[in-house]
Amino acid sequence: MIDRITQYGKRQAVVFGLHNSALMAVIVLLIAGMTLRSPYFLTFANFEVIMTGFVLEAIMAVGMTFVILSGGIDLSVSSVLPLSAILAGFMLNMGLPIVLVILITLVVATSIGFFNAFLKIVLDVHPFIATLATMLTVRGLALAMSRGENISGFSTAFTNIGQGRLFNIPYTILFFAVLIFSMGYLLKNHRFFQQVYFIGYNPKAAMLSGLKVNRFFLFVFGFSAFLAGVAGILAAAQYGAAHNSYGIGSELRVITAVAIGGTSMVRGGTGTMFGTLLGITFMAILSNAFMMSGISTYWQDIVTGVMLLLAILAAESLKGKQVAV
Amino acid sequence: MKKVILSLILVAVLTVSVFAGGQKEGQTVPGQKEMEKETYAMVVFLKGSEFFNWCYAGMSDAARAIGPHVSVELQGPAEWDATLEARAIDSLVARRIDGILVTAGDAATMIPSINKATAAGVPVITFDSDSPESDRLAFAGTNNYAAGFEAGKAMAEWIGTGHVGVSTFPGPDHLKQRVDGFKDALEKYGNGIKVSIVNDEGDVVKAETQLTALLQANPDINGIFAAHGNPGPGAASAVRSLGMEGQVAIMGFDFGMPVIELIESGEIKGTVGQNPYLMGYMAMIMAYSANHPTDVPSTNAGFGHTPSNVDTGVAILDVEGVQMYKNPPKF
Repeated sequence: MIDRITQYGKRQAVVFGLHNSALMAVIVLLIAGMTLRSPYFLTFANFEVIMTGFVLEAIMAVGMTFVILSGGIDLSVSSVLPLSAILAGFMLNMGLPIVLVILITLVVATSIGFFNAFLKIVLDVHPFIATLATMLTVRGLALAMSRGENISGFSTAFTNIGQGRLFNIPYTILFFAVLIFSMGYLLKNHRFFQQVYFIGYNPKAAMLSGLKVNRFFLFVFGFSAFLAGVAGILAAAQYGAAHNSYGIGSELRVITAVAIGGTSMVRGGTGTMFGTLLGITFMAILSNAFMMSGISTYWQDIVTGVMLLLAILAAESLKGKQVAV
Repeated sequence: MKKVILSLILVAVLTVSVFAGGQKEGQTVPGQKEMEKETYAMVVFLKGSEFFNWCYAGMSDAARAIGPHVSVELQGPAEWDATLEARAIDSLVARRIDGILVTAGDAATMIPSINKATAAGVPVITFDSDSPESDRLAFAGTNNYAAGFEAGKAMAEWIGTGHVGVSTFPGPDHLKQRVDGFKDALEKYGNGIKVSIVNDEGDVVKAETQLTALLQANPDINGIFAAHGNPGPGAASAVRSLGMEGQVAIMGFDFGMPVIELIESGEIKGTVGQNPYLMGYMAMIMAYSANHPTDVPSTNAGFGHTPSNVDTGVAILDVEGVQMYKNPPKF
């Protein structure tokens, strides 16, 4: 059993070498083109803007990779983000200690994920519908709590979490780096995380072979919501405010980054964390490129859509090869 | 002798002034040819909104008036996420844009990005929706007290005396200012007009139910003021369902398509039109001015002169007044 799971993971790595190389080539072309176009593109200042400008989506994409690998989807992250920001803001302004605020916020966020898993496991609701419902409900909750007004006036001890830096690198970026590398390592080498491939590829077979599939779904959706909660806290700290508009539409950017990274949307069980990192990099550079060159942001959606389509087609054709292996 | 000296001095002064003037012209003419290209960006929190397209039209015209070396662009997310707007400002600063005009999707969220831009030497002017706590140099937009006052003055002229219902909701500062201005104008220009306020919670349906209840309880009401864009159509349908057409003069706010249609059908008598074109125009002029400090020291350290606030005014629009707003510019 263990052998089959690890073998499957290793085969994945070979197949995705191709997809990732192609995506890397596109990213290099994008960087080269932008460097020719604008003298300010390849600067440290802009490098930081690119990274900090997409870090919230990037953090959520790590959780989303597990969700999509397991054959599901999580639309609710874009609402868990503002709810967490607003909840944390309220508690901070009530004078609760920062550690406690973070703890409570993350517990609330994670329990929303558990609820998503509950809808899937117990009521057998497809994650698309289940998380769509939670997305709407939770966003309504965020709006009702804040009544549309911003919550601000946080202590510098708190805003420092989002604005401070170590060795001149923002904490948010460091957190993301540690997160994606540790999760990438675990997905490749740790049995608990590797089973996501098997479960996503064939959940019934996984259940029959004795894997604790339901417990795993609980982890997957809980983790995704947990990271959305982290993103919400970081947003409140980074911008020194919380507002119900935060994160609107971010679920699509997150899912797109994961899909461009080669994680199959059609069927679970194919994808890598490194691919997600590349997908994030592509999306982050692309949105910055449009702002840099002054081209209307309308075109950004068109380019992103075409890239998404290409990535899905590439992922599907590669999977055909993988069956032949 | 004195006359000779006097005339000599006069000649000298004239010569110097002509020379000086000529010299000045001599300097500016080649200077103008070599003027460096400058790019200014407008950042909005809802790209594609008609209101902001009017603002951008004003910005474009102002840039054209300044000269061919100035170009402008419209940036901002297509969905309303205040953090995306803040990120857009960060990117523009990294690109060393020459100036930013921004309407704040959320006043507090924009503060770190606006302050970073100002610290980097990029002038930031807010328009329409301000971020007053930030380091932005100036704001161009509607003075809400004055807007309410204009509405109250027009209402007093329409009805003279009676009882007016006001549809608004508690919370936003700008709505409170509008209602204050409205009440003050009624007191000044009207003849003992009574005012009743209902809470519409910002919603057109809620406005309709609240106003229906108000009209039923107070049949003497002969005027309704919608303090923001939403309750106007709700007021019209409340009046319609009670069969009170023609007895209640309705003043709307802003010129959304439903309000325009109701003005054309005569159910809404007039609306308070803000001037988005002028917001963009004035903000652009101020950004350019801030970017070009003169020898006269300004209160904006490191930048040129700007007033801190420019009131772009309102007009009470009737059927003819709203016609131009039916065809907003597209970008």
